[in-house]
Amino acid sequence: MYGHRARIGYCSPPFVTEVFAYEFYKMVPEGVTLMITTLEVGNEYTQQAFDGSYDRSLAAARAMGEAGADVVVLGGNPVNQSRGIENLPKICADLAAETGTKVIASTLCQKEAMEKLGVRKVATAHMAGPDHVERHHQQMRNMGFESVGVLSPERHKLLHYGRISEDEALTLARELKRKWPETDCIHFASAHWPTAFAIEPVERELGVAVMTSQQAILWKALRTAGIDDRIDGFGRLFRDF
Amino acid sequence: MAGSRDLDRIRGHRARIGYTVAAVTTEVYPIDWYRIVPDGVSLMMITLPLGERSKEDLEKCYRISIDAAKTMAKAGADLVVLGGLPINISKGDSTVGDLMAGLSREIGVPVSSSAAAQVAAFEALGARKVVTVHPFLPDQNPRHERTIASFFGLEPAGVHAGGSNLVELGKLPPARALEWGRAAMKANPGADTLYFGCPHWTVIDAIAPLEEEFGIGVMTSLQAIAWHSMRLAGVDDRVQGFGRLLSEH
Repeated sequence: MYGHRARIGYCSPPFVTEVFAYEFYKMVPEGVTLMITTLEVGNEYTQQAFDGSYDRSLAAARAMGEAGADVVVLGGNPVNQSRGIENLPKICADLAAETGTKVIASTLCQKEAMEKLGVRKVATAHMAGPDHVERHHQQMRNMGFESVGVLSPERHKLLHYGRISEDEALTLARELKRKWPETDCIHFASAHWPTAFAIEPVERELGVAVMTSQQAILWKALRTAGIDDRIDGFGRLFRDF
Repeated sequence: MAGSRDLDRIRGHRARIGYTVAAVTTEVYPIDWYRIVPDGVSLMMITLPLGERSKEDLEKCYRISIDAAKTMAKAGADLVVLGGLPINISKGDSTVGDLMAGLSREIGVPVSSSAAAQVAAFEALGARKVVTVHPFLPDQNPRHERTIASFFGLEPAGVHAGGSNLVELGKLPPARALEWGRAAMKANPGADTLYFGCPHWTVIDAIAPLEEEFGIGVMTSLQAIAWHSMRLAGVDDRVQGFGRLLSEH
C-alpha cells in the first residue's frame, strides 16, 4: 500500500485545505501517507469554529484510528490552545486509549520542536493580519518561549492562503530579523500557507533556526510513527533531530 | 530548493481545482492527484461526513457540498468539482446538470461533478460495454450495474467486487487493482471498457498495463476527475503513464 512505512492522520482546521497536502508530499519520505479530514474554521477565528473543529477532530481521530492511522495529529494551534495547553497531553492520551492509535497535538509538536532546536527568543510571521499580533504573542508565551516580535502583512483570509506566493515567507523573515535582531528562531505560524521552501534559505541567510507549524507537525508525526529518516532541504529540525 | 524556484508563483499557478471529497477522511486521493496533474495545478479539498450512504448521510453531504462550492469559489478556485457519484445523483439521475448550472451561476465559477467527469471520460474513450470493478462487498454490485445502465446509458457487462470496505481502502496495495481488473476482464471478455469505481483506493498504476494487456479502454473515477478538471480549467497537457484518456484526449 502507499503508506507502507507510516500513515499519518491530520485533522485540518480550515474548511478548505490546499497547501498542507501539497507540501506534505514534498517533505515526507516515500511510503508515508497523509489521511486528512477538513474541519470547520473559516475566515473568522471564532470560539464556535474552534469548538466545532475540536468536536469534529475527535470524530475524525476515531475514524482515522479505525482506518489504520499510525498516528493522528489534532491540528490547529488556536484550536488546540482553546482547550488549554496544559490539558493537551491528557486529551491526546485519552483519545489514544480510545482509538488505539497514537495521538499528538500540533501545539505540542511545535513546542517540542523549539525545545529540540534549543531556541529561546522567537519571532513569528503569520498571515492573519495585524489584528492577530497579540494572539500570536500570547500563543508563543503559552508554549514557554519569549516572543520577541510578531509580523503579519495585511490580512489574508484563511481560506485565501492558497493565493499567497512562495516569496512572502522569505520577505517576512528578513523583516523580522531586521526589526528584532536578537531573535534566534523564526516561526512561520499556520500550516496552510507556503513556507516549506523558505526554511532552508532563511536558516542559511539569517543564521537563525526556523520552525514552521507544518514542519513541526510532520517531524513529530514521523518520529512518533517510528520514521527516523534525516531529511535534507527543510531545515535543521528534520536534518538533526 | 528555493533558489531554483519561482517564488512569485502560488502553488496552483496554472489551475486551482476545488473538490468535495465524499469521505470522512481521505488518503489516496491527494497522492494520486499529484501524481497525475502537472506542476502548478493544485487541489483544494474538503472532506464530507459520508458514513454508510444512508439517505440522511447523502442529504447532509449534498448540503455541505453546496456550501463548500461557495467557499471554494470565494477562496479562488478556478473550477469546483462535486465529488461522490451517490451524493451527486441523490436527488435523481437527471438533476445533476441543473445543480451544476445553477450553482455555477450563483458562485461565478465553473462547477462540474465527478459524475459529469465520468460521463465525459466514457464518451472520450468511446465506451459502450462496460465491466466495473469496485473495492466493496458484492452487495454493491446491483447499484453499480444500475448506475452504468441508467445514469451513464451504457451496457453493463459485469461487476467485480473486491470485498473490502471504506475504512480499509488505504491498505489496498496497487497489485490488487491489477488482479481484480484481470479477473473482471477474464470473466467478461466482451467488454470494451474497464471501469474502476471510487477514487479512494490505489488504482492508477493498473490503468496502462490493463489497457495494453486486454486492448481496452480503462477509466477510473480519479483519472476521469483529474482529466476533466484539467481540461475544463484550460490545462491541455497530455499526461503519459495513466491511460489513453490522459495521453490522447
